Amino acid sequence: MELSRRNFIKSTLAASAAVAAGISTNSSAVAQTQEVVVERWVKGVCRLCGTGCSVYVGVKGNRLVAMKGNVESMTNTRGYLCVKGMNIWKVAHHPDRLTKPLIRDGKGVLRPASWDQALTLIEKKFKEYHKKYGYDSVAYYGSGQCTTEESYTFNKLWKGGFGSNMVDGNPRLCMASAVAGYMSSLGSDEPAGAYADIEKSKTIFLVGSNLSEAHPILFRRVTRHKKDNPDVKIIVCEPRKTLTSSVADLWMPSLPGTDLAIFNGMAREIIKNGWYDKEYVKTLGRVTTGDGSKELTWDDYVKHLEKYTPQYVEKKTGCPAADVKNAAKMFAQSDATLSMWCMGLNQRANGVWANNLIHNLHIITGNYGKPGADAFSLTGQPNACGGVRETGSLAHLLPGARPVANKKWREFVEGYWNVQKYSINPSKAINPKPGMHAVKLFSSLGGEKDKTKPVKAVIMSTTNPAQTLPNVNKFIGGMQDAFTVVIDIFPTRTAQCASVVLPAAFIYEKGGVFGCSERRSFLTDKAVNAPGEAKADIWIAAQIAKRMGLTKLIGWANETNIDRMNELAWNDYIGCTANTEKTLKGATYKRLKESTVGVQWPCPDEKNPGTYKRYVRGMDPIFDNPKRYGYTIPDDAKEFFYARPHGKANIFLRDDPDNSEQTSKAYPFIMTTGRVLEQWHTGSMTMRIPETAAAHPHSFVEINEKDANRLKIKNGDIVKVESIRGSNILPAKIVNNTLEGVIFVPMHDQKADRMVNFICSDIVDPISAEPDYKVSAVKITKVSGPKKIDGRYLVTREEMNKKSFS
Amino acid sequence: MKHIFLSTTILIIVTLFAVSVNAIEKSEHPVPIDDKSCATCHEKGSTDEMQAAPEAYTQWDTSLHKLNGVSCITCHGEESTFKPQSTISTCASCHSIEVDSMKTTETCASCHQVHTFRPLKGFKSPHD
Repeated sequence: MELSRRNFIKSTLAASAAVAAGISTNSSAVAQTQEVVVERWVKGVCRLCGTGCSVYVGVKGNRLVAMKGNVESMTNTRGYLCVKGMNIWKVAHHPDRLTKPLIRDGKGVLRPASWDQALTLIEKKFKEYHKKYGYDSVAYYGSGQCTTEESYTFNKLWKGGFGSNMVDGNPRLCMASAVAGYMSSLGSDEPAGAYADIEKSKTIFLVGSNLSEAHPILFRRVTRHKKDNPDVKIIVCEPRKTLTSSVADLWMPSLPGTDLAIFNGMAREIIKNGWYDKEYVKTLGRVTTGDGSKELTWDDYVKHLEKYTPQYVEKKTGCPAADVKNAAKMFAQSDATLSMWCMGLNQRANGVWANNLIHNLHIITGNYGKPGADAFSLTGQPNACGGVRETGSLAHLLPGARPVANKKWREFVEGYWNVQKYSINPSKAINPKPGMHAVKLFSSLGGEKDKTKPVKAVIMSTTNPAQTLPNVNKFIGGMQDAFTVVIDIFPTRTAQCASVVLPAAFIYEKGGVFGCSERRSFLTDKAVNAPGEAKADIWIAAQIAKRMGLTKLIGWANETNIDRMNELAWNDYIGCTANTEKTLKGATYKRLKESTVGVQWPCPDEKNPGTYKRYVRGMDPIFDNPKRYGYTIPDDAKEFFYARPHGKANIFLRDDPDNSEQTSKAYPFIMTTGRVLEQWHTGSMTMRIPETAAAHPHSFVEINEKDANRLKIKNGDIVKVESIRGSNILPAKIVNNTLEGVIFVPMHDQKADRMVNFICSDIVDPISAEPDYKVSAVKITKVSGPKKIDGRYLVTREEMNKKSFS
Repeated sequence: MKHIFLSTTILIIVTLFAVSVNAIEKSEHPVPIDDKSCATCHEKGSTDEMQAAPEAYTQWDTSLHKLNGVSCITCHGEESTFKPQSTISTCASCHSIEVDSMKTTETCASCHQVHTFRPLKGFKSPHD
């Protein structure tokens, strides 16, 4: 009898742990590669991108030793993981972990302190500033990497407890334009469909997304779909011909910042050739402009598009006229078209408009509401959707992603939170005025001596704005001068600016809910204990609440068991949003504990399986009782959007303004930034994983070979990339896969002279306030021939005591 | 008796498996990698350094692994974690359905060509 591995090693699947793999900082050291036996597998979600891959972490004793994909997963189908995901567990036991609170002394040195000392100082400063400068002088800056329970707790503490909307988060830097795009076009944030649409689509339009590197597991689903169904058409529209384009039927090059003309040009072709869905437009479309309040006619829209001839588009964008026609045909003449985009559309001076124009294409071709058809914005972080967008942890929102300016909703939340009774703000109300968006917040942050800076303190969790803000040099001084509290697991550039550093628990050391791009909430179970004195954010929020006199507002403040705290916070959250279209009322903690696939909202009750497709009768449970959610849906409506006033989706007249920084004789190149496969965000985790650090040890600048020849730059030469704001010194990578005049620099490197955000433009979208990371005017000059690069750079504990960045 | 036979069989298999596990000795990449790309030496036609196993690189270059971003380090590690042959558990990080359905005496390479990963002719898939 031969045993299968399933029977033999089901519970003890060996995993390559490499004893020192996750902890060796000496690249020349050779560690023994060995197999370890996993004692138990604990379910969870990948810590990294917004795909929401479902995983099991392997545990031995109190240590993480392995990770494998969940074969039942609806996201990473069949349990596939990317190289980052399969190795992320290795950071948990890295020797650089922060394990004790640190307080900066008068000499600028971060000294170990007790939790009581650190929290006492925070309490003292917050109370002092509230009194001296008002409640808006103390801010919270969160992250799409905190759990939903944590973000909800901090949001409630600030907006309900302090009466201040000075709450924002790093999703402002990546998803705010998608939020505003969905809200203005369809009336409700987040996609209508799900990843399951990939396998049902006939045409896939990938735009502003290097899916192969930023979301490799979704790219795998796309490539598998194409392999199994060669008739499926794939269009890729982006400035660089990346690996993503290798599976495309059509690559549409476009100069960074110009693709609004392409989308309008495609719409023009679709209408001109009669490929649009007249019935769908008549029933579910509404032509408008500006803020959407004024209704226009279809003829107005057609007239508006006349300017966007294929020839105009080619001249403006660099995309051949024939490609615009072909793309329009493929988009409109398929039975089901799925668009997917990411930061290439969102991180733009006109990001909201770019989103609107993608929605336009879907409305005029009837590509919502049927299997395989959707306009799907991909998220970059694991809980930007669930934790920040859905809990409303942005300066202008409340839970349920509804605006603070919405009086009716504000009053409901005030009542639900019992603000009248518990708030420490004499107004005893939620402030109707939105707080500051991220860039404004950090522009307004400074020390007590600086009278021009109204924000005097900020607590920042699981994010690294001293590396990620655009034109970052502008904000570092303010962070150093103000009272700044940083919650993180590793030393970072932001911790280097902090007054107080609080050691955080890693996701697998605390558990909690992450909600990914496809509206799916998934509970990670706690697998091991946090090292040293590291604590979960929700515990930290609770201690601050208690010290600020808000124990009753945060009903879980006195709990000591993190799992119980998470459950109470989750229950409070799903109760608060039960009557919104984002309802997860049916996703009880017990259900999430038992589920190995998570739950997609809307999910109004425990019997509801979760929703694959919104806005469609028979699929979207909101149709069953619309009044409960504040909507009036006609009984005969098969499809209905939540945009007011008619349940129709808005077809916006949007032009193609040049709001991004423009090139000049002095700065003739357009620099665009982005991810590489093996790294993530500021590299604080992935640069500590030996494999991913080795694959991408340092940044580089990608230069078109014709430009390089002209400038006499060879592969590996050291070049200076410079904008009016700052510069980087980088090795050159000569390529033929990008447009002339366009250079690309990855965003992950922590080394001061390779931190690309010193160069980036800090223009923001006028609607979403999201920065224009994708378009900066730069010049490049050769510095020297090839040189050895000090790769795998990491901010150390020692460097946290230095004011300048090395 | 049946129990004893089964227990003995399992013990033998466990012992064999344990031996195979323990047989993975400390591995060192033949030359310092020093943050160089694998392609520097392994890509066919590379003249930067010494040529090493270009066939493997060429095979991988046409594989679905390449298309899906599964590169050399994913399976072989880097300098401090280097393993000349990938372990079955590394494969299982993504392919646990397939690994679970394999016999204990098999490795992925029993039926799949390294490094294209295409099934070898004449093998019946145990994964169906």
